[in-house]
Amino acid sequence: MTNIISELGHSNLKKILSGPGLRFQTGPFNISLKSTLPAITQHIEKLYLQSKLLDDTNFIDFYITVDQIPGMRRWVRPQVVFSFDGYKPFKPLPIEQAPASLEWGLNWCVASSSHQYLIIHSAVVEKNNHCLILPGSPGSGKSTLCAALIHSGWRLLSDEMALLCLSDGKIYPAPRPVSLKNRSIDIIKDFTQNASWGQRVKGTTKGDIEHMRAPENSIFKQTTTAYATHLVFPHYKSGSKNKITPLSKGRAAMKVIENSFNFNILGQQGFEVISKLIDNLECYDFTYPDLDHALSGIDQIVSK
Amino acid sequence: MKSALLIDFLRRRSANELKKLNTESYPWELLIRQSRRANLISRIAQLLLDAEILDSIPSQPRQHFLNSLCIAKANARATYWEVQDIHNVLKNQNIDFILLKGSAYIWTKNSASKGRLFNDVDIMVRESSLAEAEKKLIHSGWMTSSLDAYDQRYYRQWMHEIPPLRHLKRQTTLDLHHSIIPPISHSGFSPAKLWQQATAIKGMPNLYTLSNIDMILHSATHLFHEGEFDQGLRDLSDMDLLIEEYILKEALWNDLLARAVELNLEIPLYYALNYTRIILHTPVPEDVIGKAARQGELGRLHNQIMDRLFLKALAPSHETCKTQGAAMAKFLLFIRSHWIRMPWHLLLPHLTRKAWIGLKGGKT
Amino acid sequence: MLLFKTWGEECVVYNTLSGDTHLLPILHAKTLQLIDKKRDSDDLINHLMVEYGINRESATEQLDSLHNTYSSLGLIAPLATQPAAITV
Repeated sequence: MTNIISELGHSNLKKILSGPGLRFQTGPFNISLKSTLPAITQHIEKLYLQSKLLDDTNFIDFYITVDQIPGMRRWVRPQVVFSFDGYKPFKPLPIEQAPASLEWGLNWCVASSSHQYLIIHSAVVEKNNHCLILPGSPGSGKSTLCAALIHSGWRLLSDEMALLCLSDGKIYPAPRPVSLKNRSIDIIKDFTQNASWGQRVKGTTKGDIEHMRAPENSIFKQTTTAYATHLVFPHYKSGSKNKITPLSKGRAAMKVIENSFNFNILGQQGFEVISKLIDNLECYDFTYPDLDHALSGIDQIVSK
Repeated sequence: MKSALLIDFLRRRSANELKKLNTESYPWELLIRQSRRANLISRIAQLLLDAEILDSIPSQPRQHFLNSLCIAKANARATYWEVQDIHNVLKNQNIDFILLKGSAYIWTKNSASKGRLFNDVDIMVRESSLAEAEKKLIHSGWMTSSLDAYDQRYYRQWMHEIPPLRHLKRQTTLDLHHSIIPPISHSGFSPAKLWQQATAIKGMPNLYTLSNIDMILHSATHLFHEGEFDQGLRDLSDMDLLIEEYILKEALWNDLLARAVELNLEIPLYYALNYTRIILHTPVPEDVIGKAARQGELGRLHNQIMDRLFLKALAPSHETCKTQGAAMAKFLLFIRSHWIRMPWHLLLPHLTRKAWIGLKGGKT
Repeated sequence: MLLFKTWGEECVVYNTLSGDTHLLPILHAKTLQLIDKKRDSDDLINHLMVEYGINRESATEQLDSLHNTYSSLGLIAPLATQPAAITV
């Protein structure tokens, strides 16, 4: 009985993906994925190799398909579409963008239906019981910073979504491939030789994308939850100096609400859980000029 | 043909029947998948909650049902807010308006509000108030959809609504109708008759809902005349619940039949009664179906053809319960729905234009 | 229903009916709370006079301006039911 995806081998993996569907676990979610596309087989093989396999008795949260659109377009400009139990949340994309389509699609499934959590658009990392929420507004450099942190001793809980459980107030890990864009890809490739990468996906609406595999320890510890201790809003500003500014809790709460995917769905419960969260968090705005400074700045923040 | 799990569940949706389910071994995952696709997952969740068996379902499927209820609650909250905002605008001009469909169910908290999800608020004003209502709503932050001149004409002149309005800030959609059958079709229907029986909402001047029976007839007309079957099973489920609440309890079948005649809606009523009975086992008496068919003056051959089409179009469409020919049936019914709303000399150019836009990859 | 959460000099107000959230200085939040509790205008004017140390005329002006702000934010919309405020 195989336990993790890497034990399947390439041809078996391909057969399962094209056939009954690959059943695997990622964080708190059970997925069944079907795809006949070689790019998807490659993506899974490279970036999900340590994910736990599930059998037919396990409940599946999301049945998803990433596949080519049949018909005339197959030959002219082939397209791929993501589908969740027959529902297609996105328009079709050029077939080269299949891996990105899978990752965006999975994010969509989680964000649109997992309301046992307040879901904050942010990275979450943890080290020595310090658990940082790094919300990601455009230009913040959140993903690049997150990628650097998880190769500097920090554990990845998520690069996109903080899952704050309503019932116990803890963050539930959902470590998946980290999505990096354009220049960030080269920056991180310079920063560390220890990362594994998927294929480069060109020409998306966000530019070029490459996915970086989640480090091993984050997958091993993906059932270990954490209480958030710090909320840090990163601002990348080339040529600046490190600047750590305490953020008032009122403003921090408003910004967390702005950055939450499902605050409007949770209503009063969402407000109460954010209030409790902010009560226990140290909140900062953090401007940094480059990764090395960023890492030392983060260390400074958690040692205060 | 074996019916889908979703249909089986809906047929035995009463609390007493649901309590008999073996919650440990029931195929919840399959039910979740089919019902999610049919936009019925929150309805199923509410039925389970009402039957007090949600807590005894295994935790993983239970979480999906709970999450769907969360969404439905948020939907209802947002609807209350929208209706109140619209009411503030229209009552200041003393413009009466009737809440239609989902927003009416949510407002009256009737049985069709159970786990009901929807995106648009639908309201109806008198034709004489339409221009004023549109103007005031636009002044209060509602924008007309950016449609080209043809579509504007299609909606205003030929259909029974103005193009959908969208709120600038909240991004919610409001459909403003002045009738429920487009003026261009020749069915002799008159919205004044709806106003005569409309129910005023206590404490909210100018706000009305349709009478209970008219709500059922409107739901039937919407499904069987407007040709959109994506929510077909959901609409049928609404009718099943409304018939139980408003008609069954006091056996008001004759009132329902008579009102359909009064409003020239005999045909959609027959379809509603026939298909809720066949598909969802709504307990419509045989003689009532017979009367409804005779009122509609529908021939046997016609009914057989329509059965084939509607039963396919209304079946749940999920990979675990696909129906052969469903797509074609939906297409034919779509054509039919336009045909009964527009005369031929307008229909052909209209459909041609929609097809052309579709080919170019635009939104029809 | 309005929910209030205060940290220091700032208060976040959540309107359960509209789903909107607002950040208000604590003094404004206190005034809003009083308006929400349907305290009469005299009460409110006196409260503002004491808190701000201003005269009656200025306090009345302040109150009018706050009324307008809150109602344009939907915090005190004319609703069918007027619920009480709760501090989280």
